[in-house]
Amino acid sequence: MRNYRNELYTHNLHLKELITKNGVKDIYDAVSQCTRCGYCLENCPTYLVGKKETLSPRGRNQIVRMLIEGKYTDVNTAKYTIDTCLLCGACTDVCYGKVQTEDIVLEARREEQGHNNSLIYKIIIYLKGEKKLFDICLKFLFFLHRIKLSYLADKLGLFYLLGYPSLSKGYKKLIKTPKKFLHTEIKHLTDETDIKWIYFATCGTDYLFTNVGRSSINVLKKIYGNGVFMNNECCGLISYNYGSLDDARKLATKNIELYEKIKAANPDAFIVGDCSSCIAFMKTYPQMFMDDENMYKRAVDFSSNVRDIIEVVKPEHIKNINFDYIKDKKVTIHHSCKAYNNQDLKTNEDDVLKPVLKENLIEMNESNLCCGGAGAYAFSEPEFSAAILSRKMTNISITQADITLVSATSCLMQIGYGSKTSYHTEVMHYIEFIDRIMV
Amino acid sequence: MLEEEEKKLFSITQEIGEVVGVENISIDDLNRSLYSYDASMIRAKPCGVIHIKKASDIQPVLKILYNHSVSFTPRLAGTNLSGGATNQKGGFVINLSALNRIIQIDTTNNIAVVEPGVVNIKLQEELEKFGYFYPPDPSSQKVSTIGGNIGENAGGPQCLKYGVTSNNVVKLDVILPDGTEATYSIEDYGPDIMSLFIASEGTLGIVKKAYLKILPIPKYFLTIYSEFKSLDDAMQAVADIIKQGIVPKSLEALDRLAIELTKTKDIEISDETQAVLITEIDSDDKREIDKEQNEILKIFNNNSAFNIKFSDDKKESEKLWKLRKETYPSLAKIANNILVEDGCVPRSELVNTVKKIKKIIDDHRLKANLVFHAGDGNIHPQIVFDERDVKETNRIRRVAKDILKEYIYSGGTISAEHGVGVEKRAFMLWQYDKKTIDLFRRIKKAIDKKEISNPYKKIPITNDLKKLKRKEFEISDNVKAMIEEIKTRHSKKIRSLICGKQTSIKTLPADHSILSSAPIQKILDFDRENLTITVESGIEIKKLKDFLINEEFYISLPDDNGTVGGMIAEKRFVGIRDLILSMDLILSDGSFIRLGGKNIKDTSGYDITKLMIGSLGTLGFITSATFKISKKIPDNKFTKPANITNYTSIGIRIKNAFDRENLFNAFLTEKVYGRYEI
Repeated sequence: MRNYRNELYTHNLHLKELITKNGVKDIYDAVSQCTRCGYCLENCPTYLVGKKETLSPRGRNQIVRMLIEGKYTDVNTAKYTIDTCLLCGACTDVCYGKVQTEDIVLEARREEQGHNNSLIYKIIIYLKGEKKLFDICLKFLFFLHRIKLSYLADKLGLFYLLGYPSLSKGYKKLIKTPKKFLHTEIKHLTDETDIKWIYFATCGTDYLFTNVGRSSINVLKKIYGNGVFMNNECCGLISYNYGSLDDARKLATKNIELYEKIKAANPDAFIVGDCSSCIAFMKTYPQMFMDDENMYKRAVDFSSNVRDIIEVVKPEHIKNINFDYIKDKKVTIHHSCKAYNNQDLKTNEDDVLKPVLKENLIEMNESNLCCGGAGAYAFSEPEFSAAILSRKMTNISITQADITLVSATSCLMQIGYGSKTSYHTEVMHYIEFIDRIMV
Repeated sequence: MLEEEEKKLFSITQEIGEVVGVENISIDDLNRSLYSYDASMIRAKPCGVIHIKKASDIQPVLKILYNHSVSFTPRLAGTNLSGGATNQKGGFVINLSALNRIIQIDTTNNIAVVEPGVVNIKLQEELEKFGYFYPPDPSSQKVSTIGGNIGENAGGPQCLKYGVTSNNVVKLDVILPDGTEATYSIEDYGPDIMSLFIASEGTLGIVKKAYLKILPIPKYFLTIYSEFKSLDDAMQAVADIIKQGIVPKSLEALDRLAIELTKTKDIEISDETQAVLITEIDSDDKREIDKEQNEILKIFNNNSAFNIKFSDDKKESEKLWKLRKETYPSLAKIANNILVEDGCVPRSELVNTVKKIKKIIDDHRLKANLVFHAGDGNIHPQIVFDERDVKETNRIRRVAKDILKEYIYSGGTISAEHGVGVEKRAFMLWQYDKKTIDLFRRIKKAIDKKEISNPYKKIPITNDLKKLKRKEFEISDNVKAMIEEIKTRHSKKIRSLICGKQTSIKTLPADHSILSSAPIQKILDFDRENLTITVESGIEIKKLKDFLINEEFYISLPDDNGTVGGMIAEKRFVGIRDLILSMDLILSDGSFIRLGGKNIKDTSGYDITKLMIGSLGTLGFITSATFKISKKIPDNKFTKPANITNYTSIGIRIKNAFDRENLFNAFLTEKVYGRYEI
């Protein structure tokens, strides 16, 4: 293979190779796939609100290419471009060369000063290793939030003092603070026989939106019969995006081992979860194990059996419908980017709901445009997050929908927050709606 | 940077910051780096980037830059393929993308008023709600903007029937490089200055607002997909369709190479297929569509077409278009870079030029596609390479040059839609002679005195390439005699009264000698296949129409006792600008200026052909013009221009660029250009 590298820039420190839709490439080849045609610009939420090349996918690819070629020297002065990427994948979806901008941006972030050094991240990772302690700490924080202490802290400027000013807007998005977490509730789901599905409790569902998990399990039981709870670890996305790849690999390995144990007795069972972000990430586990042939094989086996809840519900499954519930209700679908772009699940919700709701299913303009939630984006880039949310709420308000369906935790929080501050619509997970309409 | 230069930059930055806000002017390395490229291979770092958030900020910003003599490059989506959106002089890039308001859609007067940053497809989507469309539909329309389309005179598959951008703009509000605001429209009295800005590639200032022609979407359309056993059969079918007088909405062709690289398991093509044609027709009259459908199918059968499919349903039609739309994406999957060459030849030269280009590609054993807008002669070879491999890139550059030469040899142009920019700047000297290039330079200097508007673009900066032997019309003996006469008059500073049959001249002004087009009345070329006719300007309109009717053709000109030259120079009806493809003229110093040819699309030089319309003999002596003709009886609806007097300083400067000594129709100079000093 031709060697175009600039030997002074060691960029092989992170992922050795990227798995792209056009084959496996090292990062320089992957980023050189971008011919600067510019067709991605009008699909990128940050470009749409900012209208600058420095906020475009093309710009992000080009700055990383310049870093690799030594034409741009300090990634830390490129934060405006690198850190503002939502990682939504909308660009790759329309890119003719299928340039993997998301992964390219993450590789650049891993070079930044301060990456993997955040105190909050270190605390979270430590606590995730001590599940019971994590539960206690989180319940305590939720309690403080419920008694309005976070409100007080904001008024006193405490968040600014602590060095996390974005939390002053961020805490308002915490609309659900359950007293009991999902994993304690569904612990019993372990001794079933003839397993068809393995439920993966994503952190968002587990700790925040427990109703979503209950709905998922209800629906899975109705359609597929018996299943188990994986009693899983965090999928590792937080570490992949904000922390260290090794942390992510550790969590992934644990999940793979848990799956393999269940698979041994139930070879046909699929893994299913209800947060599109986590599920999309789990489908890419093999990316992290390119250096380890054995783990790579196991990761491929794992990933190929991961499903998003929105793809396991098919039109033929909806037989007996609760017409009272859907009567006169206008519904619109926000296609969460991690389902639409990364998993290529573009019409699953529509295919199921169109025959049921008919003209009451209103198509949303820019339905697959990111809502601006994007994990911790709302905290790291509050201004862009707000601008992008505003665009999404405008599009929802045009539909005049009573109910807005999403398929990711981030969207539930973000659009839920938008629903309180601008156009009011009942925001729920797609599977909650399915649960309600299935008799 | 030297300390002085740094100080200058900082003070300019401060001044501009006071206008646009400090957050909207960036001189940091990140902005400079990410505004150093566009979609071409050209790289050039600007000294800074100015982000315009309000249209009213453009003028004060340009005034500041003009005062400090700092260059600027207007930029929108940056999808330019010839380096046009980069600043070659280390000046500023002005980002206008935020100006994306559609200001008005007027379906009574068929006009849409937009800011330059409106994305083409977004305009189409809004217009569709009213049952309207805006004809120019370049392949980049999902990202490219109206401002960019104007700068490059964008075309698109629909331009065969509906014209390019230049035929679909009626008025422009512009900010000139020195910061003055001006408005130019096709209804102005005098020469059509507005048309200079279209295809100007940002070298003549910035468009602040554009008034576009919009049309109701025809009721009926039909897409026809057909395969052919040979490229010759396909091209013969194209020629037969045009000869029949059918002007399809689009006529796209792919060769075997393109088919090989594009077909997937979804799109099954037999090994026999050497070419594919995708034809689309539209009309408000169902009978017309049915008639054309039958005629086209007959022609296809006569040319051994097979696997013919057609549809009048939007979704099904998209499937038929899929093969064509996937040509570029299918290459993008396997390549790092794709060179999309762009040139136009007269339709009659299409087959030969395609064969020659194929040979060049084969000889170099390159991986490439050949896609062409068969209806208008625009050929796009798409060649795969990796720009990181310097040897390969240089080889591709050499191949591109050879291909460009083929366009020129066939009487074509080196830029049909992608612009000249930086990439093809030097090759303008292959296509145009030095006198014409000098005229382009003078026009540029007339409008951009300090040469700060997108410098080093479009016009060659050296003179060292020689004009190639291009297929062009012979200059007739009478025209040669005319050139000599004009040269003699020039040396003696004799003023001329330019006229045809003198039908519009009431009294002969003092100190003017007559210069009539009566001696030049030849029909230089009558091309049935290309649907064009080239005539010398002295021919009477009646004679021209009679000649064509005899041949069963029509030309959309009103009945008139005068000459063709007179009708053009007086702009007797607005629509004449959509009929004329090119012109030849003689300047007052005897320079013979040859513009264009028989090409349907040409964005290489400034649009002097359109500028001459309405110029009333004050800029040059038109010796010949190439018109579009048709097999269909024209509707004979001719709108007289409003002839609004619009005096700006640009007018007299353009007059000066053409006729420095004021020798042509000097008695009209003040009436046409107002009282201005140079």
